Amino acid sequence: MVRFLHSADWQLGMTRRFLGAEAQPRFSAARTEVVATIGALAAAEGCGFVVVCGDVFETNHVDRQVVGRALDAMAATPGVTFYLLPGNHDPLDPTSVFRSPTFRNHCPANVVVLDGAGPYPVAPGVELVAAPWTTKRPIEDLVSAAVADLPADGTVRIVVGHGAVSTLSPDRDDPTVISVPRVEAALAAGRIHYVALGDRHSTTSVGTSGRIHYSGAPEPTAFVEDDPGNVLLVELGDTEVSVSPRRVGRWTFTSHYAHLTGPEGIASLHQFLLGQADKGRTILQLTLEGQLTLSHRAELDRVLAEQRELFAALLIWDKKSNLVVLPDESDLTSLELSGFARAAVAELRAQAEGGDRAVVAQDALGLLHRLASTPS
Amino acid sequence: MKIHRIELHNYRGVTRSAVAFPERGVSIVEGDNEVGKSSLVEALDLVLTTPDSSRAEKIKALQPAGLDVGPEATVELSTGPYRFTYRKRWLKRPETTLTLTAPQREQLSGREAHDRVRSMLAATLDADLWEALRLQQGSELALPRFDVSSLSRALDQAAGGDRGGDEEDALWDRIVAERERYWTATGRARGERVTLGERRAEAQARVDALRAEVAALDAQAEELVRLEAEAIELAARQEARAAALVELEGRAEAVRTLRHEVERATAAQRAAMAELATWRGLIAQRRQLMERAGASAAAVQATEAAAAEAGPARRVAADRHEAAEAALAAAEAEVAEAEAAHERAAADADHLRQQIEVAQLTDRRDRIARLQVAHQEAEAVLARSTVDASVLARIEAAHLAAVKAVAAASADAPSVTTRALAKGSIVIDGVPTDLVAGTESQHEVSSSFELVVPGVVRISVAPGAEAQARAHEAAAATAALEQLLAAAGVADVEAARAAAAARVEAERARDHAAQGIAQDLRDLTPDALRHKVERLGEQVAAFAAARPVDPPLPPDHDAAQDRARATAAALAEARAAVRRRAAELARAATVHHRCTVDDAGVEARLVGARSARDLDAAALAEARAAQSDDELRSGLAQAKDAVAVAEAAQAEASARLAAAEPAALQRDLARLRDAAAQASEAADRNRDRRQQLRGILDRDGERGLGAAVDAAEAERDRLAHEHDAIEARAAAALLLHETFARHRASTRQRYLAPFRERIETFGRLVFGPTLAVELAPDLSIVSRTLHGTTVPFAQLSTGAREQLGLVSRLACASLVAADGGAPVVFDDALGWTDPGRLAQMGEAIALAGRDSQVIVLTCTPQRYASIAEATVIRLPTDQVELRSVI
Repeated sequence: MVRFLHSADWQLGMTRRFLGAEAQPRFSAARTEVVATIGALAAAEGCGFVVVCGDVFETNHVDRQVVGRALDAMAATPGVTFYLLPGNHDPLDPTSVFRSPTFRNHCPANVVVLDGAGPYPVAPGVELVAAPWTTKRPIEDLVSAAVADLPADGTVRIVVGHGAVSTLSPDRDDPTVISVPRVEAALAAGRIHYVALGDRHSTTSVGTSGRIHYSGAPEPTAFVEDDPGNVLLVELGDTEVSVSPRRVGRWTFTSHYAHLTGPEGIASLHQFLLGQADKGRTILQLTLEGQLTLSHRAELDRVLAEQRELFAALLIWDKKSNLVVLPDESDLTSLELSGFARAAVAELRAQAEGGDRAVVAQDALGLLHRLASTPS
Repeated sequence: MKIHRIELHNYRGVTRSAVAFPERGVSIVEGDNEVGKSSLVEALDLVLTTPDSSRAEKIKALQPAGLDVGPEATVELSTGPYRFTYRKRWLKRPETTLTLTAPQREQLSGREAHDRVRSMLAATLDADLWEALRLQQGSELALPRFDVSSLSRALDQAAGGDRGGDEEDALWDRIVAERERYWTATGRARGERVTLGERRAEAQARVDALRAEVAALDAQAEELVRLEAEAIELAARQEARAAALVELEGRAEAVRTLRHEVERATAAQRAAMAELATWRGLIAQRRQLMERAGASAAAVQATEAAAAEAGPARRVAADRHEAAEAALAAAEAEVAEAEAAHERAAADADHLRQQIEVAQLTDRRDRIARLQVAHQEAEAVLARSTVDASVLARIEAAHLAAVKAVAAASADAPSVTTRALAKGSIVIDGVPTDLVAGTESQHEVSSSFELVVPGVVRISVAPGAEAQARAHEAAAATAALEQLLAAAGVADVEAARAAAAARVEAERARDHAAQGIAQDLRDLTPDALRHKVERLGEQVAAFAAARPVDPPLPPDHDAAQDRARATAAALAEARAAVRRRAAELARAATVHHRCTVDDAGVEARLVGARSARDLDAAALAEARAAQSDDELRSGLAQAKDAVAVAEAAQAEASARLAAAEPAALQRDLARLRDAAAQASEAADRNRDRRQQLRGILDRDGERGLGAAVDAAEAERDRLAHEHDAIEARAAAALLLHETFARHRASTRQRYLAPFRERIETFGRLVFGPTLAVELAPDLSIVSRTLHGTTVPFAQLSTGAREQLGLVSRLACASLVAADGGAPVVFDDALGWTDPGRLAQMGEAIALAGRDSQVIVLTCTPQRYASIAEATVIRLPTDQVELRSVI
């Protein structure tokens, strides 16, 4: 019986540009903290080691302070050995962070870099079979290559790999794609027993064997991820395998769509925002569509401004959003314009309804509204 | 606003004046200058604007001279819903009272009254309009600003009431200001837009730079990977080269052994050849010894033969020497003989020449003696001569004078002619004369004439006085001539002439003689010549006496000279013969001497040759004793055999070396060593570069550029967002401005129309039906068109501008009349307008008067006589007491 934690894609050093000056450091700190959390979880679950399947660091050019802190976090649980696999973000090329002076100088005893392809004994009768990335552009399926010549000799083998798998990759021509059939054949032949993968940030089971898994990233990194924030607790018996996800991430990336046409929609959006838990660690992306009057737009802006204070980030997805703001009669009436001004406004309104200049015309009307409302 | 009444008290020069105006229509206030017409309008302004407490200069100027009361003005106005009477007194006991009669009755005073009036006016009177509608005396002819709100309102209503008001104008100003935040006047970006754009570009540049650094690192990493692969390959190549090198160097060692063998064989060959050369040398020496012995023996024989030949030759040479000496002596004797002959011939020639000279000199001497006699004779003649050329000239002159005088005397003198009739005798002047019958005699009477027939008669004839004078003159001239002749010692003129000729002849003879003497003397004196003749004569005589008879003296000098020349030639020939003989003698002497010396040399050589022959023979014998000729020959043969053996050995060794191809081997070896060196160098370079790259990657990797790239990109995104936003705002401001500007312009254009039409309505009364005007957006007149001709306003005549100014005021007033408006006030206007136009202008003013209150102040009432329906108010010239007219 082997018991260990399977993690991957820590992406340490990642920054998110949409985060403000306040949220970015917290976001970064959380990514380091989750390392300590994983160590603590391993210790608590009686795991002797953690395999981290690639992309430990966002890049080989990662800020060296991040490296130091990560190693420090791992050193906090000396009883748990961390096996770190170089992935496509941090390949073992000459710029490799794993070979950097900072890493070498700070590396604690319980951290092992899987810096060569092939077996690493971790316990009597148990080996890790590493398939590290040595370049950003390998020319083969590293996992299949690492597995190819292994005998079925009763040794329990845990493959540690990184990359897309053939059943999920959209790119069939990519030579690095891990061949699921080959890996499954090796599993079936009893030459290997578990395939721990990284690269996909969502926790995912691959194939039908129940022995191939992506653990997903321990903290989310993007809106597109389905199920991030987990590590996998793996128990390998002689015949059976048990894989159970454990939640470790605390941050959330959320997308939300709202169609706004009037005060009701704004109120409903407001309610949604109010209902979000742990806003300080939530990055929320809104897609807004619909049409608002100037005064409603002002209300929307007020609501968003208020909530923006609470969320780690509250974003409008410009590309997908299409919120038309048009002054209505009441907007214009309230301005009490007459003469040429009224005629000009009418023309702008017509332009704002659609066409090339619609957005500019809307802006122009907004501007007019502001100028006219300003007490002279 | 309407003016109902204006009243002045103690105002400037006016003690009291009150004028009431009708509510509408034209009021013409007439009065001479300085009766206070202008004061009416001024007082209205001051009452409305200036508090009673004012001490302003304009107020002080109102104080009437010499009175202790303050100036006072009362106006009664209605404006909007208000109607009031307002009175102010300034300076002395200042006071303000306001009596409102509408909308309700009210009484106020002091500051309260003042403020109330201000607020009523502010609410109801368009001050700009009030200003615009006044045409002051002597004011600028420029048009007033019609851009006043009440006219705008009126025009707005006329145009359909859609122009917008002050708020729209304020909004417009803000729109303009907003556009100017983002755009320059020429439509370029300005201010923060520019800054943001630049910062965005800079941020992008920073991103690019950082990315380039990361890319460079990645490229270096790739290079390192490539170099590592290359290093392995290089190592393998180096190993292969090292093995090949070992093999080639083994072969090179073998070649070196072969080369040593060749060198040894070559050395042996050289030694054998040296031995052979030694033997050849010995043989050559022997041959030399033998040759030398032979040669020295031959030399002895030759010398002996030479000695035998030497004696006879010497004897011949001695004989010849002697003969040459004798020949020389003979030649010398011949020379002496020839010299003597020549001396003789020369002396003879000399002698003969001297003889000739003596003869010549004797001739010259004799000739001189003869000439000296002739000379002396001529000198004697000359000494005697008394008539020379000058004396003769004087005589000739005296003679001529005498002849003339005598001729003159005889011409004047009476003449007496006698004819002898018969033989007889008469005495004439005392001279008895015999008469012969038939002869006539004539007598001139010069001084006196007396003819006596003796005994018969004495006839005396006397010349006249003149004849007598002439006769005296003739006598004097004749006497002078006689005197000269006497002095010259001649009888008469002829004699004088002969004497003079004789003198000339004597002089010529003397000169001829002197010349001949000089010719013969040449450079000698007569004595010297004589001595010379004597000396030469003696010499000639002496030579002749001394000379032997034989040979005979040549016949003449020429012959003597020929002889002398012949002897000179013989002498020269004899001397040449001596020189030839001397040379022959010298040669013979030399030959003789050499023969003598040679004899001695041959003897000495003979001794030497014999001695050498003996030595050489001894040396040869000695050498043969040491090593016989046969021994030498056999040694040479042996040495030749040894050389042949050594050569064969050397050839064999060389062939073995050549078979090993040492050059090719050397080339291969060099090539391989170069290649190895290059490979090693490449490996070194590779290693160095890898170390360098590792250093770079370690160092630059530690910079953790990822975070910097992220930060730079975040900044770039933030700026891009900001920049996009400001660009959007700028676009919005531009669109807003552009749209508003367009609508504003077209609206303004629209609302200009009613004003233009109204101006044209009034103007056509003045200028006729073809008048048209064009207005600027600020309502000023741009141009006037008349009969199809358009002229810019500024270029119109002063009168036309004045008329248009008045017409446009009337039009304005009539447009705003419905809204309350303001009175039109003309203070002595139309000074520039001709009488024809004045009449038409009157019509226009009258027309305006239907809607508006028009007040015309004038001191020339006839200007406005054409205004029908006008209320005329005459201000009296008497200023003491003014009366109310209505």
